[in-house]
Amino acid sequence: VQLIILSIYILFSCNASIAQSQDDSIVSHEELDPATMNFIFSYYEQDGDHSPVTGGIGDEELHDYIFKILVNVPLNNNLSMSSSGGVDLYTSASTDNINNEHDQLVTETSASYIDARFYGKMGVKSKRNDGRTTIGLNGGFSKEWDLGSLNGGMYLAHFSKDKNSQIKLRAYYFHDKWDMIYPEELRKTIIEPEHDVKQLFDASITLTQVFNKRLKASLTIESVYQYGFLSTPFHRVYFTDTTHYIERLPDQRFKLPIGLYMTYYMNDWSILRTYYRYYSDDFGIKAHTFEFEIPLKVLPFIVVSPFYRFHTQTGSEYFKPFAKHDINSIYHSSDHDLAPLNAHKIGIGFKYSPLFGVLNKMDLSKLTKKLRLKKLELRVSKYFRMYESRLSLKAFMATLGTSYSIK
Amino acid sequence: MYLNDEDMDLGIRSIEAEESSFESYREGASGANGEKVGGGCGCN
Repeated sequence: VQLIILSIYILFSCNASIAQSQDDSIVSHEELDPATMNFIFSYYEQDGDHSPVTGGIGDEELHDYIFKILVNVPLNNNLSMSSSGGVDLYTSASTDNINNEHDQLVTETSASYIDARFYGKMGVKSKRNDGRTTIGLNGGFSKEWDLGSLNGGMYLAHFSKDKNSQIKLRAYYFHDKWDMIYPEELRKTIIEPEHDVKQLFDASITLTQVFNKRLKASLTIESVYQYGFLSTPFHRVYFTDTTHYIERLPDQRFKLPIGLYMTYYMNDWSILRTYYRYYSDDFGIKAHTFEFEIPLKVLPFIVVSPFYRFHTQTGSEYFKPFAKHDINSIYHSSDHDLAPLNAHKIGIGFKYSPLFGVLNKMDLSKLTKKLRLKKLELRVSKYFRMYESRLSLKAFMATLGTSYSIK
Repeated sequence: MYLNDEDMDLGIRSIEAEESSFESYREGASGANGEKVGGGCGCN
């Protein structure tokens, strides 16, 4: 890790002088940028046989329908507001097993029911007149059947004079409150945990550098501290003596992820996008994640982007599979998200973004529409999670996105 | 062209944010990609 940081520092010290406009860079606008509105619809499904609700065995089938809207409104050349909100509607076979199968009438959730998660976020972004410094504030919430969450954060971004380098500092806070729902058969014997809240403090620094007209990269170093009830109250753990109880994890967790993005303009019809992340935490998980994507301009305004992602992690010291925990262990979990695993994701994206918008005449003088569809995107992927060289969970996801501009 | 191309942008794009969210739940690692690192349950 030190070698990586040192290498990146040397690279970032080589300050290439290439003036390019970037997303966060500012030039003086005589006319205000249009407001934008994005609609996202995603479908996600997964299936596996290691549900933590039933102690590391059992059905993990899940279907999730996600509707999301993101709006960005410039108020003047230096101030803009953004908001986003959405709902996830899902059916889950695993949470159905919090209660016994014969007790469906009083169950909190069920594969046959549709649960919902609502969320929203608002933010404001202000840029100084020289366009080199941006300050952002935002806050949000989410609510689902067993948990309510509030969050707030801020960031500060600053460009170098030539705008080829940027430093961004970001801080976030999350406050989650559980509705403590235990497995039905344990409710009378459970010892109430000390907390029903989990908090998260997140701070990160991102350095972005344009190296030349074809290459740019960013390095993010993040530190995350979690405190409170970090287990899930309805996750079961079975011990070697066949008894069982709920999952128990330490009430503090420190995470250190370091991520490196790089994009390279190979030629006029292809770009290389890469990402690498190193991750370590004090639950004993160390992970490496690699991802690459090659957007290909197959036709004017049409981009096809195949991508692949690989993730590998060591398991948490608190994880053991079904019926392998010792009854005297202080901390125990059979949640396979914390298991040693390898995961592969493969997929493809499609993007159609004509210069004058979708279904518009290619004549700027005739563009009188207030609302213009600027871009259509579709992205599909398959995900395979392996445990002990066996396929333990597979998932499919499809996302449709539309982008509008509003004059 | 070049750096101004949308696909040259660094970080997670809105079209892939939900994928990143599910990966953060189904794996023990998260963060350092511009996306959130906490909040919510994801406990199915």
